[in-house]
Amino acid sequence: MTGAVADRAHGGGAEGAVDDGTRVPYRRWRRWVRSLRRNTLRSRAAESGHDPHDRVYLAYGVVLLGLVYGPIAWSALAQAASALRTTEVVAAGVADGPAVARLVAGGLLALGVAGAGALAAARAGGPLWASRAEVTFALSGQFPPRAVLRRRAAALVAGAAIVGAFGATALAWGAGDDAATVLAWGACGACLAQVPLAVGAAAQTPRWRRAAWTVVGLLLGLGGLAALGAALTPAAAPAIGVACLGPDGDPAACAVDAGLAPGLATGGLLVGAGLVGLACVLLVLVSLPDEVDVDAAAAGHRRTVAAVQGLAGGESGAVADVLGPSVLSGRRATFWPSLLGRAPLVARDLLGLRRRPGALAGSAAVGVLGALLVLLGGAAASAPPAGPGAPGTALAGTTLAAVVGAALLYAASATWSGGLRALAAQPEPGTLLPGRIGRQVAAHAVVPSVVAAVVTGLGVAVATLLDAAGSAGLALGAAVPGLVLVLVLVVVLAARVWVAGATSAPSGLFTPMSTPDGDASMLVLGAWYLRGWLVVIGAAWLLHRAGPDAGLALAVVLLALAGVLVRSAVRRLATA
Amino acid sequence: MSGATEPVVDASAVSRTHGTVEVLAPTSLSLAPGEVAVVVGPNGSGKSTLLRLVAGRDVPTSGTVRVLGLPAREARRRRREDVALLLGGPSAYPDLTVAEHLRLVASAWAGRHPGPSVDEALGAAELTRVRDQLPGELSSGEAQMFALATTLYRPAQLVLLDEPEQRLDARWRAVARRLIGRAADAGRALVVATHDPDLRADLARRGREVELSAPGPR
Repeated sequence: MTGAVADRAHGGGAEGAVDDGTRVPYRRWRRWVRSLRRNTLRSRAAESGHDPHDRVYLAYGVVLLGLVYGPIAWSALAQAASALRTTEVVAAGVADGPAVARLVAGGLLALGVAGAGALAAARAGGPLWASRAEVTFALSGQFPPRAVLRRRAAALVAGAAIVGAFGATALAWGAGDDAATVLAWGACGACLAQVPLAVGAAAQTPRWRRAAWTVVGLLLGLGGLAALGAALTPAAAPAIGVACLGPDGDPAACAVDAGLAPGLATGGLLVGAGLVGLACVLLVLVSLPDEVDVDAAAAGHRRTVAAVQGLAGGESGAVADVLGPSVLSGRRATFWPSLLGRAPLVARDLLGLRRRPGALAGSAAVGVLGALLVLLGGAAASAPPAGPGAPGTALAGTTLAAVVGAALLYAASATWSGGLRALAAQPEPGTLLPGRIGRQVAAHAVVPSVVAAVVTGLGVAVATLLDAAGSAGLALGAAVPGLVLVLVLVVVLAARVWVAGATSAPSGLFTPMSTPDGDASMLVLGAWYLRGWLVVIGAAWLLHRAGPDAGLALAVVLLALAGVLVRSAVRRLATA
Repeated sequence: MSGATEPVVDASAVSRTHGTVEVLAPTSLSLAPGEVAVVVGPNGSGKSTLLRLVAGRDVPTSGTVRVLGLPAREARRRRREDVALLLGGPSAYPDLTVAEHLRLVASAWAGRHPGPSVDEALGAAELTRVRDQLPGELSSGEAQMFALATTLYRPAQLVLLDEPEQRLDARWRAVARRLIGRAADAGRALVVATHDPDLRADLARRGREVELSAPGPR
């Protein structure tokens, strides 16, 4: 990399200087070499028993799937976006302030979450990936990394634009915007989708990595603040209303659907999104390919390929290594001596968490959000709505909130239960320490339980704040949401224990399962990998669907299920 | 070896067959408390299999294995505090350093831990240099020595070691021999499978040698 920069600095059109672009030895004969390579690849593929046209079939399959499922996904998104419709009081000309605030918050949070995903992708060898062979040639100076990366960057830019436009147009159309506005939103989406891509590519470079993390932190922070602000701001009371009558002559609601946020996707927003998108595209295409740490990218790429191959073979152990070694930014932390003497495994787990403060903070934030959503989902549907436009009114009592909240809690609990996972991953679990394996599992469950309790408390506090502001639509006075949250937490922790350490799928899952649609064994294998998520989501869905009447019976069932899950894990670890 | 004392390990004509392949020919082994046995034989003769059977990780095709007076599978569940194992990689936590592992072991066993101190144990295993390294940061030899040191650092009546010398250079093999010798001197019963001639000679001098026959034609 340094060499490439030095060469460029040395070049500048001076006669005899070697230009990076011409260092590719076969540039003059490019067409001939490319055809030679194509033919060689074809003959090699044929010799190894593969179909030389595999890639064509792959492209055909992708396009076909896109054409079949794309419109379905677009319609589903548009349908989901119907909840985003805002009301506009035409006569008064009052802008729906909280709706705009919610839109801004949603946009910032979506960008932040996508950026966080891109940061994770950067540790897994993407988005600008490089193979080992390419890195060998690039690092030995035969061609600069950008010769390989720039074309991929262009493809990624196009892909991100398509995805962004796809999502934004569906949401805008579902929210009731007219065609011109939908197009404007699509353009905004295409431009803003470049932000996560640029963040991911920047995180692959040593120089821009910190900036990428800062951008994601800012997006999430501002999005969170905007969401809180929107939630705490009561909807503007219309100064002038329009009286409407129903067919029977009684007064009826006559809100006018006005799309995502009336008049927002014009002018400034479009220009702003365009400028941001242009800056990101320039970064991704021009600046970053020269600075990407291709060695690290190739290593991440190798890990990802190994994980995918392992998954196909029934082994999910490599998935934990996809992101590379854990970053222990709090490595200077040490045991608390008093706790180490009394509860060694609790002290160990606590030390493990203190050594990953970033992960702990992130998981706590996700956990609080999850707890809040579970509370919203469990809130009595009969609770009086807090007011037009309040977020709680849209989510309170919905299955979606309960299920997404439970899934978020499960995701967050992965960080809290690192000690348990490490115990289960040992070749001889728990043989270094005294006590039966059940006791060790119980000791390792203390820290996750305490953190879960704290996070839940924070979630309840936030819900209380929202409730006090009259914008959450919660009925916290009722015991049901609290009971639902506790049960979900119990199932989440039990599922974590259950899943811990079992990385190899039982061989019986590979038995072909004939169905009218073909072999379903891969589907079963996928379900096995996702078993923890499925149990948690299923429990949350059941809790929500059963309602308060069946609450006690379902609570008993779920507690029994949790007991079975933990017992099964302990038995497996004892005989591992 | 006192006749009145119950053997720590009592394997009687134990064998193991996978499909049509006999991976361990019928073998007997009886070990009194504090006694040492070194298991030797060419690759494929069943050394690791014998140790796995004694550890209760596998069940014999024929014969019986009793450990501390219980069937091996039962002892694995009920007497795990009395048996230390090194049959695979180290049983480690990825976010604790080498020294912290020993500290955790010493604290967890509290009054039952006879010593030495963490610093002395690290010095004896020549791991002082990497005391603040995480397990993932160790070289393969260091990781093997770390695994051996932590296995021997915890109290146990019976210690099972499967090729403790693997990936160690000559200097560290000598250190490993010294550590294992100290464990034997401390009165622990040891079953060690090894290819290292020096370790074999050392342990054979202290106890008995179990030589497994070469596998049949492949």
